[in-house]
Formats: sequence, C-alpha cells, structure tokens
Amino acid sequence: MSRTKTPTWRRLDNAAKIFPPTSNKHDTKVFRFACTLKEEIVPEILQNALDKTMEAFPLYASIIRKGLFWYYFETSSIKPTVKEECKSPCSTLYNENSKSLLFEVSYYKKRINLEIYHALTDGVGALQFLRTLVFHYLLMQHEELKEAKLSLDYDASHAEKEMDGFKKYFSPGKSAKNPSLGKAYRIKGERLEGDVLKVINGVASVKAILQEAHQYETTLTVYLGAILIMSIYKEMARKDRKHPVVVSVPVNLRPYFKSSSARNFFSVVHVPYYFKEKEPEFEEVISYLKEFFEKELTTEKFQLRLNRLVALEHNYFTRAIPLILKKPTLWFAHHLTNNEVTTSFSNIGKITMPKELEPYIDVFDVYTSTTKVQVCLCSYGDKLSISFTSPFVNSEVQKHFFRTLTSRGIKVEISTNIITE
Amino acid sequence: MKTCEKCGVQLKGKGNNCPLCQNELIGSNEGEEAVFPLNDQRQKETHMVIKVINFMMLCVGIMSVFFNVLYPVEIWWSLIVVLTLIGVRVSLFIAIAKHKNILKYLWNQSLVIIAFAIVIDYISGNHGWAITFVLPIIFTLAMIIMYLISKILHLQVGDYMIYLLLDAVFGIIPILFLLLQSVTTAIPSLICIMVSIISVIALISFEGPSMYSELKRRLHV
Repeated sequence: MSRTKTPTWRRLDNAAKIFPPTSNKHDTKVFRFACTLKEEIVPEILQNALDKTMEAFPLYASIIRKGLFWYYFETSSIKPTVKEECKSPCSTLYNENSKSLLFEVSYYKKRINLEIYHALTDGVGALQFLRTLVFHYLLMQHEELKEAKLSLDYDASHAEKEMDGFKKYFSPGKSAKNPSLGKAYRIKGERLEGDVLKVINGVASVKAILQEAHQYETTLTVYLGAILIMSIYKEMARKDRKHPVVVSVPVNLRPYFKSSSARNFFSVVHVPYYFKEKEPEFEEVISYLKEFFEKELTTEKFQLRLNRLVALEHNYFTRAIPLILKKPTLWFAHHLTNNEVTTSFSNIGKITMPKELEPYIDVFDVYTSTTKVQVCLCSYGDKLSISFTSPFVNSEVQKHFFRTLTSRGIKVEISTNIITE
Repeated sequence: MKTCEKCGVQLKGKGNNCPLCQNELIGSNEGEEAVFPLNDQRQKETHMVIKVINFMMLCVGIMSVFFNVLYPVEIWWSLIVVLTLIGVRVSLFIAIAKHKNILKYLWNQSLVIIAFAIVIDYISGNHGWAITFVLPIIFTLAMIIMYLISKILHLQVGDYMIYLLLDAVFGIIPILFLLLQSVTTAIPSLICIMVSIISVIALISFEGPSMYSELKRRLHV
C-alpha cells in the first residue's frame, strides 16, 4: 500500500457502529481466533506470512477516528508486528486516545493467535484472515508444500471484501418491529481481579457429539445449545425462574445474502426459553430450539431485521446528532439490550484448510470478550473446540455443561488460562 | 495429562485443580506445556502514584479552606487555591489521556488554561485580564507551537490540520471582544486575529485539497 498524503477513509458498517461507544476495559469487544499447529512457531516466518496476508486484506490496516457525527475508519501506514503472547486473552485493542491497529497477531509455543476488535470484522471475516495467515505461514515454513501449488478457496476481490453488506442489501420499506423480550435471567457472581477474562476451552470429537445429536434427530448447534440452557437452569435460584433464559445467537448473514464481505455482516437472534413450574425435559428444550430456529432463521426475517437496523442509522435525526451525544445514547441502548440477554452462543462451524496442510494443523479455537458467560464453537477435522469465556471466578455453568457431555461418554480435554494452585 | 474424576475431563497444560469443580486432579502432568502464558500485572503501580497525587491535592484544598475560615481576609483566597487544584488535576488527566496525541493535548490544555483564567479573573474582581491577555496570547502561542510541532515531527496533514484549524477559528473570537470593547488593550487580540487569519489562509493555499477531504471525513453524516 502506498503512503498517500491524504489517507482514504470508510464509514463503519451498521453492526460496527455500536462497538466504539460501548467498549471499555471490562468489555473490550475483542475476539480471538487461534490456530494450534503441530510445531513450534517461528516468529520471523510468521511476520513474513503476516506481511503477505496484509496484501490481501488492505482494509485491516485501519484505525478508528472520531468525526463530528460518526466514527470512521482511516487507512493507516502502521505495520502490524507479530509479538509473543503476553496479555490476558481478548485485552483492549481500541483506545480512542491512541492510534493503533484494530487487530493483533501473537504466538505462543505452537499457537498463532489473531485478536480482532469487533468493529473491524466479525468471526467469519476474521477466520478468512487467519486461514490466509496460516496458509502462508505453512507454505513459507515447509519447502515440500511449495511445489504443490496450493490455493485457498477464499478468492473474493478487494471490492467484494470491502463491501458493506448492510448497505448493499438494505431495502427501504417493510422492517421488523423492535423485538423487546423484557428482562432476562442474568448470571451474576464475583469477578476476577484486574479485568481478566476466564477462558475454559474443551475439545471433543465432532463425530461423538454428532452421534449424540443424531439420537435426538437434531443438529450439533441445537444439541449443544440445549445443554447450555439446561446447564444455566441448574444454576438458577428458584426466584429467578420467572425470568427467561435468553440465548443470543449471532448469525452469519453471508450465506443468506450471497456475500463474501470481509467486514461485519451478521445479525443476532435472541432465543428466549421460559421455564414452567417443573424442571424442563432435555427433549423439550431440543424440540423448542429446533422449531425456533426453523421459524426464525430465514432470509425474509433477516431482511426485515436488517431493514430495521439500517433504517435507524439512515434516519436524519440520528445522523444529525453530534457524536459526543450519540456515544451515551448508543451506550445506553446497548446496556438495555444487554439486560435482555443471559448468554451468547456462537457457532463458527466447520473450518477447512487445503488437504495438504492438514498434517501440520492440530486445532482451531475461537472465543470472545464478554460480561456474561459466552460460548463459541468451531470445528476442525474431528476436533470440536468449545470455548467458554466469562469474567467470573465461579465456573458452575461450564462445569454442568462439560459434565453433561462426559456423562454421555464423550471424552473432553479441558484447558484454561486461569490456573488455580 | 491429569484427570478430574468428578467431571470426567482431562486437563491439558499445568495446574493441579480442576478448572470446573476445583477438586484435585489425579495423574501426572509432567512434560505438559503451559497452554497460556502468565499475564504481567504492571498496571497497578501507576494507579498508586495517581492516588497519592489526588490525596495530597485534597489535603491542600481542605487545609486552605480551613485556614481561610480561621483567618478571614477580604477575598476568598482558598477558592482560588481550590480552583487551581482542580485546574491542575484536569490538566494532569488530559496529559495522561491524550499523551499519544500531542496536538490534541495541546488544544485541550489551551482550553483548560483559558477557562481557568476566565474563572479566576471573574471571581477576583472581573478586571478583564483573562480575555485581554490570556485568551489571545494562549491561542496565538498554541497556533505557533502546533505549527512547529507538526513540522518537527513530520506529521501528516490529517493529524494536525483539524487542531490548527480549530485553534484558528477560535482565535478569531477576540473580534467580538474588540467590537464589544470589553478589552483594555487591543494589541494581543489584534495579533491573535491576524495570526488566525494567516493560518487559515496558509492552510487553504498550501493544503487546500487535503483540508477539504479531512473536513469531509470529519463532518460526514
């Protein structure tokens, strides 16, 4: 990228607009994608691979600046550098007083970490970046791979990557109503000291979990989602049961709208589960979730939701408010929606890499900063990585969740960043 | 790898207790590598310095009010002490928060000094020295320093233009004071207005297109 006198700028996309006013050191809005190889990482090669990856993703060399009315991205000449991991996972990346890139690549022993500020992109966009990085890294590191003429399946042009899906697929007219569900049950507890996020990661066999899920004639997402709801139920006090457990599920909009944007393009569906007097049956929760997803996850519903959000942004009144007043308003709106959610459950899905690279890669992980208890899933080969993040000392929901899996004969390998002696 | 009998899980990495149920693990994890590095926790010490400064300032403020009440004189001098302390504290806060953006710091600091001077002038008898001298001199100096810094640090247009422009636009305000005849001497105000106009003209003639695009992105709705 040439260093121009006047850098180019872009607007933040619809989903990104909420992040700068609401992120702070307790809730950094940073998520991490990590890839563990079967060999130790060589920092110099990783740096070369990163430089090469940046050529394909020029829009990631951006910083966020404040205008009078909105935040905006500005291209920056800052070169990203690879560092050895030393901070707590998902630490702050965006600070309005310093000009720094909105992502960081670090390594630790055999693992490559990509941490990204959510305003820049969502999980799917970040995954494309990490896949490209790992791809270049392995090709640079292993002579024998160079001859194979490998390529990744992600071949979007710069323009496709930079496309703002929200803007492109907005159609004025009919839009969804604000789906307020009222107060949801909230998991509370003592927090860890010093704004540290607790990560508990469990790796299990995809086949084994799918086999279990198929016994209930459902998908892996619904099966694990149901276990999550049951695990939270076990933690609820009797008086809390009048509030629903609301699971917020981010949905990648790219397949619905046939987009290959490398920016944010997702929607969030809130799934409420109301408990009645007695303890719910596992089958009941599964069939409820199945039905809910079938009903809600349709292109039409997403179109209506997208229209509502974009119309709000296009509203002349919203636009004319100076940023200094927008900030508290957006923060407050975010706070209100936050009260309507118990937990967040996000499945990135199956990650693939060219066949020739498979012997070098062990596992992919994904997790995100949160003020609640949050679950992120992704799978690579037969390894399903289930990551819980939370700011709390206590890990009862995680315990119930993994104990449910192991009680069904599924082997789980746990790892964590908070080691108790 | 160690195992938790209660949870039925295996633990990768170091640690002797189950992260889920905190029970002791069985088996051996010798040869296991740590999965995460230990975090450094350096942040806390800097907070202590700020705490000490805050505490000392509060002490000085309280003591001055106390002595002022004990030995009253014509003016409430303790009020000036308290306001000075607040001014210093605000300046310190800005210096910490904006230390990575020196021009923004300079701009905010100029505003704080001017606001502080106007308040002190007002409560100490409203002699008008704040708007006659402090305001135009600070704006003029800020403009000159901003220009020098931007040249010394080789800043890009977008990085300094907006602060220089803000300063220049605010630097024209003394016209109002001249028209209202609320200044005792016209010279500082006239110099400030002149430097402001020259700055704006210089920006337009040398950096016109970049200034236009910078304003466009800053003001997009």
